[in-house]
Amino acid sequence: MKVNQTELLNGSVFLIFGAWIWWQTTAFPNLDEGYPGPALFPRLICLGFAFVGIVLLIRAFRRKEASSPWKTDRSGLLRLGSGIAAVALYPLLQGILTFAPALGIVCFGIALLLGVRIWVAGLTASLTVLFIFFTFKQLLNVAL
Amino acid sequence: MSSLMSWEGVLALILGGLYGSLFGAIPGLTATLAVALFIPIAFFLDPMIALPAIIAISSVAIYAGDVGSTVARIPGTPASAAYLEELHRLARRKGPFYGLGLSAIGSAVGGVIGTIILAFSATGIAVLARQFSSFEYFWIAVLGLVAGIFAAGGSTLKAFASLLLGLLLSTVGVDPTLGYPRFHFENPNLLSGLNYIVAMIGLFGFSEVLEYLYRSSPKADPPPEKAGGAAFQFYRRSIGLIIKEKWLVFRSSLIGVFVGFLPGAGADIGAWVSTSFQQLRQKKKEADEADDDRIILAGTSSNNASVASAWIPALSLGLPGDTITAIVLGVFLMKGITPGPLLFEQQPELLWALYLTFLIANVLLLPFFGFLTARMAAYLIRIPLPLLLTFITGLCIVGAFAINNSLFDVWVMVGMGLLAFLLRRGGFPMAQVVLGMVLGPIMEQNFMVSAIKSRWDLMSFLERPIALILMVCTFLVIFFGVRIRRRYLKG
Repeated sequence: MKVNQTELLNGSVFLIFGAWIWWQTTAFPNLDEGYPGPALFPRLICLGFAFVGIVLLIRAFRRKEASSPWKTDRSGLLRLGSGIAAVALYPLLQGILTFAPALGIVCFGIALLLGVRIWVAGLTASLTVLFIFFTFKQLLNVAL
Repeated sequence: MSSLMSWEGVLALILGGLYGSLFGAIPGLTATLAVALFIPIAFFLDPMIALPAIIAISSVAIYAGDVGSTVARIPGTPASAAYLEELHRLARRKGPFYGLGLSAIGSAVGGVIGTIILAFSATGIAVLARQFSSFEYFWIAVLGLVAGIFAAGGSTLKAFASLLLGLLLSTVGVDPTLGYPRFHFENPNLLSGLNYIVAMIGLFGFSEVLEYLYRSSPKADPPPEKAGGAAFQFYRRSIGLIIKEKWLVFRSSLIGVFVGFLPGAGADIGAWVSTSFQQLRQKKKEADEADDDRIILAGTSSNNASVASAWIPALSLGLPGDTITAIVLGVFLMKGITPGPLLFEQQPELLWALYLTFLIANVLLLPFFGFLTARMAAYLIRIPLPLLLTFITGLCIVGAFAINNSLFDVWVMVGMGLLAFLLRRGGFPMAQVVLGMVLGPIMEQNFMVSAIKSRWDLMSFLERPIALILMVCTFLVIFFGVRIRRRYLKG
């Protein structure tokens, strides 16, 4: 049986995510006299997620068109993962190398991943760091 | 008044405008941060110079938030996020001068309308604002959320799902009733919640970098159409459209004034309500080429009208209309000025100087600095995309860090970028996530306060006249939203 896989995935994710959030709220306390407290809004949101999930699942079985927005190219996924990892590493690098070298390395890595030639990547990363340093730190007095 | 007309006063306005345009144009630096960093300087200035400088900073910075949207799809302020897609698309299609011209001149007109209303009805409107209790604020937030769902371009269901995600993200941190920490996963950085500016940088800015990394050969934008020189596009074309759409601008400015004078609401919510309303109106009609232009006009005229009207509760009641006026109230107290009804009797010259500054900021500074920032945007837009995206990555990192001086926020920004990337794959809109994050805390806090006040008698939400009107408006939006959507699908 053919199904719309994107909607099937979306619907399932919303249902599972909603159930997980609901489970998280079970530890939240109630107000005096048993009135709902901090759990009320998150639970209403969970009900909304459940509604969205069910409708998307129904749609998945009714509408079979729509191609998948995910392409099979692994290099794209690899670049994406490397880009996320490079930026996520910044807080750790900043602690070791301080602001300018850490940002320079991350920007250089991103430029290379974006397909920029190595010397242009180096130049772009250096100019980015210089611009940010002078604008934020020197001109506007923002702590970096 | 004479201080304002002195060379120090004029210099303060010009430098304030320049400083505001720099802050607004750089993603991650907000109008509020610009004003906050100006406070140590304001401490040494005469209030007749410090306060006008703050007005110049905030008026120009709110507009300059659109420069990031134009160049890199990163809104400078939450208000800019309301019409981000339209402005970015328009700037790519018709050029940055026209897009930012519409934004600057629309902001200027909205600001002037807001100032006129501020000058002549501050005390009267403040009386109305005092009628607003938690019940009315709750309904205002619900109205904004509902309008946001139906205003979305694609699937209403997916807009609803995005909104729910935004609302969920807004519940992270200490809850407003018991002070109980929610969804913090034993991480102290999450106790204060997720900052929506950081979220916006990730959702709109970093996600763009991720999208380019994933697609190895992205579609190149066609060059923008040529229609006259830069000044012609910036001033003449945008003024022409504003004259043609004068009622839209007037209506949006009134919405901005109405939302802006409510304490705690401000320009962000004004722009969202106004653009959502315009998007709903446009769905009734055949799509035409100027649809994006009208939505931008609705948002920009509304947000600068809100900037002016946010001063109404600050001046007349001593209540901040938004974060900027909260800082301004601090400056008032620092200078020994007590805001409130007595201010109107005791220091009318200060008030008139403030009104005049608003007019100068909107009529002279906005068009002037607007044109300068549009020139800057025109250069930036020509830079090859991989180089621009490298620069954007640097700005996203530092912008996210600079909000709270927190390295943890860089991880939040990365997480938001990844979330936006996944949402795009599933066809979910992102603007509604921001809307949920902005309005979620207002809705929850006011619901809980109202419910506890009325001992959970839910009928009390319908008993107050203004609350009832707002509830009826909410249901009307749902009714017409569903009807328009059905007709749209049939068509």
